[in-house]
Amino acid sequence: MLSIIKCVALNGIQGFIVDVQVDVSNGIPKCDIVGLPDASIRESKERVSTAIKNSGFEFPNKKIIINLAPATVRKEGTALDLSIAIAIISANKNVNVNNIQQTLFIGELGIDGNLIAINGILPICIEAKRMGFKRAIIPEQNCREACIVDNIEIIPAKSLKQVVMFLNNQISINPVKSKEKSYNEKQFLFDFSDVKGQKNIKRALEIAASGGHNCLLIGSPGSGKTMMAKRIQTILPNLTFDESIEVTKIHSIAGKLSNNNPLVVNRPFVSPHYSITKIALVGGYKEIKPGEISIAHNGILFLDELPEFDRGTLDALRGPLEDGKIQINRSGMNISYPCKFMLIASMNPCPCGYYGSENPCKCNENSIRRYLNKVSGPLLDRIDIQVRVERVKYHDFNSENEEESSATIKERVKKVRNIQNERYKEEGILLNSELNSEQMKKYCRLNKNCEKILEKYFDKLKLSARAYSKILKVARTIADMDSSKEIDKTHILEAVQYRNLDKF
Amino acid sequence: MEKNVYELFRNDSLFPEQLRCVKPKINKLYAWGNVNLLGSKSVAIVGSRNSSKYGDFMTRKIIKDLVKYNITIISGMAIGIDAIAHDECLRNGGNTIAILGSGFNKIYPKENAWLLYKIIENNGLILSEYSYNEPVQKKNFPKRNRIISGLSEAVVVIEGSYRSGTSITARNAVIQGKKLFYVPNCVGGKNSYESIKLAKDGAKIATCGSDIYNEIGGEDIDTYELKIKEKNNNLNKAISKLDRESKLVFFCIKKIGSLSCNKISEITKIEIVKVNQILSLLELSDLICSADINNYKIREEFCE
Repeated sequence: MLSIIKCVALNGIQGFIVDVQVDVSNGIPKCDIVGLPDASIRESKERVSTAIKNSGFEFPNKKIIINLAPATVRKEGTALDLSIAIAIISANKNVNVNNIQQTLFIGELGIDGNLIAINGILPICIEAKRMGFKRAIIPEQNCREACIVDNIEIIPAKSLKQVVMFLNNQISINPVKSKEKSYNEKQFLFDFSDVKGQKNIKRALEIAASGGHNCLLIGSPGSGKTMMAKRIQTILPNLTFDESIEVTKIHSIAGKLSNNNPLVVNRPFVSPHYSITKIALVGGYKEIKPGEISIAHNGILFLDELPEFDRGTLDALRGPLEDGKIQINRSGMNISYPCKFMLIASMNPCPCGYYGSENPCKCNENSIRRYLNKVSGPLLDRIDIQVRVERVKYHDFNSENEEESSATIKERVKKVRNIQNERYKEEGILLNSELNSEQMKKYCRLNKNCEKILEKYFDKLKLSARAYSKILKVARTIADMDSSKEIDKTHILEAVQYRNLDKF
Repeated sequence: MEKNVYELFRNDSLFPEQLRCVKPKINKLYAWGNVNLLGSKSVAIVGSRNSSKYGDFMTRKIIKDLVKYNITIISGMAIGIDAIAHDECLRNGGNTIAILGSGFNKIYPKENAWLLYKIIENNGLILSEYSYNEPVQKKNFPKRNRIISGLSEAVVVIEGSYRSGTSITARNAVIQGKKLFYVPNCVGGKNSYESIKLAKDGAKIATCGSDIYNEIGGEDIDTYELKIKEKNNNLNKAISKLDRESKLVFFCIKKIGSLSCNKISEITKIEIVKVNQILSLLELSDLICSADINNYKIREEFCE
């Protein structure tokens, strides 16, 4: 007796159809799973057989072959448990076959027959909808997340027994309504108005947020680098629905979603500790989980104490920073995760931390060089804005001066981003920071006067060719903030001030 | 071994005259590069390996002047002041001699290997008492200091701590009867010991290249002074051309010393955006320069 159930498995955030084929025939009783299962799927035959028995059904005492087609692609995870169980039961003719058509069965089984939540339910449901499934039966704990997808009937189930009874029309389960897109944004507990003084940095961060530029904050301990970096997310515009789905998909695969907020509405802010490994940062491991950079997709990756990171770890960022996606190859699998993030990094100017500040610095030139050399040049080249954070004076943080709130800055940032989106409609990019050299020629044209100034500046400070394009991009953003069509002399003059490390 | 490597014996005509009377006796010298530099007018720069920002700055300043007077710079190619001395000299197109404490094939420190090749490329000279493959040994470095002081007409001590290699070179210079200069430094600083001691012992003070040049004698330096004056005039003209806000920023920096854009904006009450633009403009017109990351100071020509 043969029974086939279609199911969806994930490869990165892309899904593909898996045929769960079960054949029950006479012979020496055994149960085998073929079709490149990983260890967790291979174990599933034990879970499934016990779960079937404990749900009060008969587990056929025959020769059972389970094939997961296409057999050349590796499959992982426990999400196929339910499909396998239903396929075995249906091969045994214990279930109404007509009800199985166009239905997706997803979920892990416990040996008591209960369904257990799995990671990645959102991308699976989205892909299932795309592939023409009409309904999905999923573990009850997952339904809040799955109900974001519309046009597919989501049926929450508690146990295998319930599923079978539902398929045999013995009970009915109400499908979960795809909820109103609850778009209540999380309120932040902090605001940019908490930052006193520091006008220069605020301006730099506003530019960074407007143009999506990567940013490096250099400053002595206690100057407020981390404080300001955390507040960047409060001035970034909200995620659009599509962006939000994209982010939620990745978070779903990584198992980062909580039950309370199934849809990620705030831009992610990821700040890994500097002891992080290369794999954890870019993604990988045996199951090819998305790394921190993919979790930060459409949001902010904040690397505090940049020189303390492993050099190799940091250099692994070079490609993703350029491409906005990461290709991970492991054991014959080839997975690509998106990772378009804004990199905010912070560091001390020297080992003792006080170089250039009012406190005397204890370091000599060599140790400073050595310290700065821990961050590779190519990585620094990808950071458009490099600014120095000063310590705040006592009278500054005690002053009653009203500082600008995040909401006001956010409005401005939104406006500037809209200008850019409008301009780059046909280029397939959104922000100034994504311009490539061809597009820069088109959109960042300088007049004679500006060119002369920039040339003079370059001769004087002996800047690199890469610095040139960074200054141009930042100048483009400043011009946009000024609602100016052309890049003007003043914009260039300001932009060169945000390359502090080049002069150092 | 590369070409241009010579072995100079005591009785060779090329063997520098000044080194014949140096004790302990030098029997053989390995030279690599432009041996014609051996007879030229030269000044040795010695200083700390753990130099401070001030020391680095003074080294560059003095060497820039000396190179203009066509004086050969001698140093030991260690890290710190030595490396900066060679580097600044080459940048300004001057002649330099590096004296190693090890063989040519065993450069120490390895980070400075690039400097060695740069010296050779730029028609400089490398000298060593030790054969090509002589390994790096601690005891050899104090020994080579007698060559540094012996070969030069004057020795300039920039920074040195108590009982450092710098003090050995200074002592050698006194024994060999060379002119000795010190660059003033603050009392009690970690690298000040040597210069303060030399000041007490009656060495001459040097704050710029002409202090040294005047002592060791040479051509007329008035033309050079004139040039500086002319430059100053030009700069004064540049200041008078500035608009009101730029002038405000400039004099603000001039009055207070090194300042960051935040503070300038605070003091002058000019918007930060505008301050940033003005700073770039002033920097372009050579009126200010960056002191360290994001701090500005006026160029030292204006200090007086």
